[in-house]
Amino acid sequence: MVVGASGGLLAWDLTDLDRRLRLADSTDDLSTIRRRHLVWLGLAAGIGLLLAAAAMLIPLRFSFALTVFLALSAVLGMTRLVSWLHRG
Amino acid sequence: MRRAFLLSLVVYALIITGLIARIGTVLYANSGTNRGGLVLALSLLFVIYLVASLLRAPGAVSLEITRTLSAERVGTNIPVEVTMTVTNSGPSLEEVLIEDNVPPGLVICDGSPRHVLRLTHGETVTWRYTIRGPRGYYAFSSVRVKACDPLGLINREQVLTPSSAARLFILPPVLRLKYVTIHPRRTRVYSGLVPARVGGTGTDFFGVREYQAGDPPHWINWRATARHPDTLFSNEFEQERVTDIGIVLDGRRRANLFGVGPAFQRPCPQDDGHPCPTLFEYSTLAAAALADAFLAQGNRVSLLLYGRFLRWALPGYGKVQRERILRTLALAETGDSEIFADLDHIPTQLFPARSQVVLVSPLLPGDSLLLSDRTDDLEVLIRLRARGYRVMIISPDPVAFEVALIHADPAFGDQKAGRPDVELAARITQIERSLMLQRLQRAGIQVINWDVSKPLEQAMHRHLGRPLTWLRAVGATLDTGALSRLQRAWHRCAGLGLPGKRERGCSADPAPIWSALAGSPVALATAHPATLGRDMHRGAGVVLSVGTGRRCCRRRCRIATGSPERLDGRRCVGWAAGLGFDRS
Repeated sequence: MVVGASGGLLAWDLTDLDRRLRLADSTDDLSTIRRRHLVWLGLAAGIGLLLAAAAMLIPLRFSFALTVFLALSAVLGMTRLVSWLHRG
Repeated sequence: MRRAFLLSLVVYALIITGLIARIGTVLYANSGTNRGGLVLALSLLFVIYLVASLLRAPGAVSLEITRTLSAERVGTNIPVEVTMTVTNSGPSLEEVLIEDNVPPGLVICDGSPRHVLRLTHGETVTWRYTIRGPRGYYAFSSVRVKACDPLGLINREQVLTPSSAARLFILPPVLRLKYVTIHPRRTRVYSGLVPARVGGTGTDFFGVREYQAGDPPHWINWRATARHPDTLFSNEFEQERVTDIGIVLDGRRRANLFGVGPAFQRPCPQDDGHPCPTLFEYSTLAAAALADAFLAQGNRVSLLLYGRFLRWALPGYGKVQRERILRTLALAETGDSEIFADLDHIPTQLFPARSQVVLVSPLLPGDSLLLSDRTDDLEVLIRLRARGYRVMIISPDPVAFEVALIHADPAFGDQKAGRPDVELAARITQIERSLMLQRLQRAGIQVINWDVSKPLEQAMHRHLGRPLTWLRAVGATLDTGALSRLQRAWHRCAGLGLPGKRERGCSADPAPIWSALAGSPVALATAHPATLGRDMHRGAGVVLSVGTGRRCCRRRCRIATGSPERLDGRRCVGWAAGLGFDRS
């Protein structure tokens, strides 16, 4: 499932990259932009896969209360992150 | 930001799903697999993707943009190169889209105004693109800048204004008219090319008067002096001066509703694929050509755009005024206004009394449904004439224009064959228009009905061409009908396109000339100004001048009264023209 999700994320990202670069002129240096994009995408996907794999492979047992707390913290953190993005 | 928002929703959904699954796992410990942990681990993938974008999110966009145009004023559809220079004075931008907002109406014919770049701090990028477009004024305003992180998740969009404002005047094409003859009732004091109806120094013979001290000896008219031995007579020449001319361009939308609309926006095969010009474009063309011709003669010319509102180019002389008028014409557009719905509100106080007024308009007849209050254009123009202005109307023929468009349109082509009512309607409308123009002519208004499918110069030359030398010498008024008959005959005779080619001579059969003048009293005369004044008294009615070429002048074939055969025998038929004499 993780690999499938990674593939979907990569496809989504590359489709959007193609849409953005379609606006460029033929004389633009798109190879640099594309290369840097792929580097960043590879890093993000690699680290994400590693962490996901680690989270699945390393057995950690939390109590229910701790699980709820961590989940709520994640939701709150994500909310802050999204609001920050909106302000940006 | 939409992608970031979507990704956030996915992360939320995964966390909540994972949490629910985890609760289920805790509550039902024997349920088997740990699906909650799997889903929560899955969310990590997207969180890392979000964080990666966030790390490289673009900061404040600080770009210095300069836009330079290769020309500020060009002709229609002439390419103009736009050079954009962008310097990044802020932090590095991983991916930035810079798009120059090209004013609507302009066409990009080379390059692109939009580029996707990576700009490091202090880096300067330059690119060029080429535009062209129809007549108009185009102001370049802002540049859209959209920066984003390498993953394209977080965008920052700004609209920046270049350091220097750029503007582009696309001027109407200026057709060269060789000579446009006008006869205003009042001229200015400065010498020019407009006959002033006043004797003095000049080039054209005006009359004979008693010799005055100081007259050059070559002015003495020896023939007149010989008849009166006790007195000396001198030739007098007509003064030529400059005059005031006001050009009024009719921009009322209701008068220019021809050739507009989506049905007529197809490419014009004669115009390199650009849309076919509307009738108003032809009016603008005529106004520009007239202004150029009048200014080239040294006259003081002004321009009034009469449409949605009044736009006025003050009277002036020379090249500066020409540029001012052309720029005003570049801004010309049609529009509707309740006040300026009819021509009754032309501010005549802007034009000097008894000056020349030139109206460029398709004209609206009084019974036109487009006139809400039924104020007739004709009545207004006749009133203008009655106030003492010399009025000339250049009227692009809307009926012929519309008919030509309909015939050229393939969508109408099939209907035309089966619908003769279109042809009938065109004929009726054309007759109505002819009657309207005749009414104007009878009121003493000079009307030039211009079929825009033919060159403007041809129409202008037919009506306003410079009179022949001997014609100006005797100061006669043109009989338009006789002249056009003679010109047609001459064209047939000479086989040349325009009467301006007459110097080449023509030895063809002059019979068409005589047949053209059938029924008219005819006298023959030479083209020599000094003798024509005398011949004029001998002749009657329409005078036909034959043989002004050098050969004819050398042979002195001056008079062949009422006997075209004699002249024909001498093969002196060089050119022909007709005029009606006031003193017949």
